[in-house]
Amino acid sequence: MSERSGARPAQTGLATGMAALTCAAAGAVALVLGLLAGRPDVAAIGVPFLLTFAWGWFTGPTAPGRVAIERATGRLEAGTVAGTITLQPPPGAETIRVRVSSPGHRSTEALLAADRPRQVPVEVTTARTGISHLFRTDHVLSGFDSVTHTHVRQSGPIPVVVYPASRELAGLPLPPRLQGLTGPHTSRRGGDGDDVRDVHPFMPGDRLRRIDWRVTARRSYDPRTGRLDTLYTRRTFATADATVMLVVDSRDAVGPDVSTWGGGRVAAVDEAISLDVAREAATAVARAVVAAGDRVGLDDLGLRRRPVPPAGGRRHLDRITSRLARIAPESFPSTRVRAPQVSAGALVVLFSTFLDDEAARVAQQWRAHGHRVIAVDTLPPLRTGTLDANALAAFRLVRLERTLRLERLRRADVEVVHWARERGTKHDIAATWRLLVRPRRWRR
Amino acid sequence: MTGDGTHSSAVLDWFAAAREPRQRPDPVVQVRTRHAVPAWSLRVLAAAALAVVGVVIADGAATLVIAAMLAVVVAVVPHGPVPAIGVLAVAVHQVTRPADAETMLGTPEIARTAVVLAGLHLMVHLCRRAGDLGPRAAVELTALRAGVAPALAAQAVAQVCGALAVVDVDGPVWPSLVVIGVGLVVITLTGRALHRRERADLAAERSTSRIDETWTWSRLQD
Repeated sequence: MSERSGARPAQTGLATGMAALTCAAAGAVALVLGLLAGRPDVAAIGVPFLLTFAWGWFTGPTAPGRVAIERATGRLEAGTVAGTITLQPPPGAETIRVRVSSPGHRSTEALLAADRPRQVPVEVTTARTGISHLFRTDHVLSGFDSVTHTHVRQSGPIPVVVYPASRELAGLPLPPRLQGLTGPHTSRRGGDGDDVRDVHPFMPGDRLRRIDWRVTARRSYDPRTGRLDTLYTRRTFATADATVMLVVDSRDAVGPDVSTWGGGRVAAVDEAISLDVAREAATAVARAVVAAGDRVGLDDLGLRRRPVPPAGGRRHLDRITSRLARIAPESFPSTRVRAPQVSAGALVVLFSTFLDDEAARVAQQWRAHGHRVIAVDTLPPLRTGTLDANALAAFRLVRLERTLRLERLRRADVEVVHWARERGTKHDIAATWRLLVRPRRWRR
Repeated sequence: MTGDGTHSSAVLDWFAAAREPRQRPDPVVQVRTRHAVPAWSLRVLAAAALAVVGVVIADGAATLVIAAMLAVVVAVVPHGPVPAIGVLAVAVHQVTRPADAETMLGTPEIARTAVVLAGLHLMVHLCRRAGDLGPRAAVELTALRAGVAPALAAQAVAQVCGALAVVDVDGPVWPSLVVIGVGLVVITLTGRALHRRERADLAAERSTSRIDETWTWSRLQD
């Protein structure tokens, strides 16, 4: 393509199509040949090409127009993510050629009519959650017969936050020690609540409405004097709330295809990798905690940054999910000498693939400190069909180490849940979660 | 290299690799167009148009082979100077043969000229639409319909020229030249008039336009 010059002043971003120019030149050559050879039938061959070139030259677009890519409104969840290409063609534009591409997807080309302003929906299928840059659009706007066209222009890609699909979990496993002066759970401390603790003689500081008149009449009635000598009060357990700390191990983001673990190839975007599973599981637990009226916090095992402190409420849940979407593996995270600090008596839920010792080690440290620890295994179901013999042997060693690591965790009284293995059916993970919710006897 | 130290053939390697599990193809970005046809169908149609022209003007097997090769090239590489080369090849072939030369099909000269004019124009028209697109690209039917009217007008002028050329093949050339000249003048004047009107509309739009920055406050920008 060549920039337009000559009689018509050049427009910024517009060019003359090389194919149209060569066809017009071929038509002119045929015309001259026919005239020189006295063959008007040959000369007529060049007529349509010269006429169409002249028409396209004089009716072509005079401005480059505008093409924008926008994300779909609303909350985007894993599955199908949509966007919109907005076309605002200038007068004289006939077609627009677009190529829409996204990481991990095959690009798609299309020739669109540019007769009027319009919107073209685009969408991708992805299981990847978090922040993705989608819908890079390369476009060329053309006039009649591509005689005049713009240079290749680019719109996007646009950053899109994809949230994990919502999963409901019934109930909440409780830590051994509850906190606070009020909340949805009954603590082992006396105070204002509903569950009866005992009946006790009235003491200074007891409220009058706590007097149990039935017990008082039965126990302290003196038939000789006909009077009550002691008042009895009904004492209750206080209520409290639980603190749950979610710790996501963002150091690993491995997919189901083991051959992609070594680098060089990227995991397929239509299959969830371990970090997607961790986001889904952490979001589900956080939603269950907030729904129960408790407090939830978030920390990242791979990234040294300030954790999200425990709190409750809908806005805090949005804060948690937003932070979860931003979690991504860093290149070379430094090894933690000790486990990250969590609130006293908090339930710790650790989401990791447990492919190395660090996550298991900090889980054992938390358990040794007296926390209840639930280790959620986020490794997705694996495929080893494309591995050669050496890679398969290496993978078997890694898998054996991981199995031993999880067994050591179980023996250290850390509860292990395989989220990805049991997420095939909804009821399985729900049943596993119900087992965790059951009251348990604590080993000190 | 096989176990006994001999080199296995590429075909055997291919068969051995074919038994291994393949990687799944990546998913495709979906573009929701209007009613569309795949670009390869336009390529095939363009190649067929050039092949028909070649069959009509062929006076021997060599011409047929060359026309078939050109058609294949047009189907595979429909962009750049390839369509122009097809036009030039037909023009050179026609100018080196007498106007009343016998062809393999024995088509009358007026029909032959009409087919040549229509076929070449159709080939170039389709190549221009499908040229810079991949074979699996979607081409909207409305995009194809957009340029049909001017193309048909140009084709009509060319057909009139061709008909006059065949009718007056033994006479003077000036009737065809007059038609060509009139067609060029008419299309030039019409195009310039449209161009001036659009320029005036664009200038009026710019004079009344104002800066309109569209801000989208997504969660990322919070």
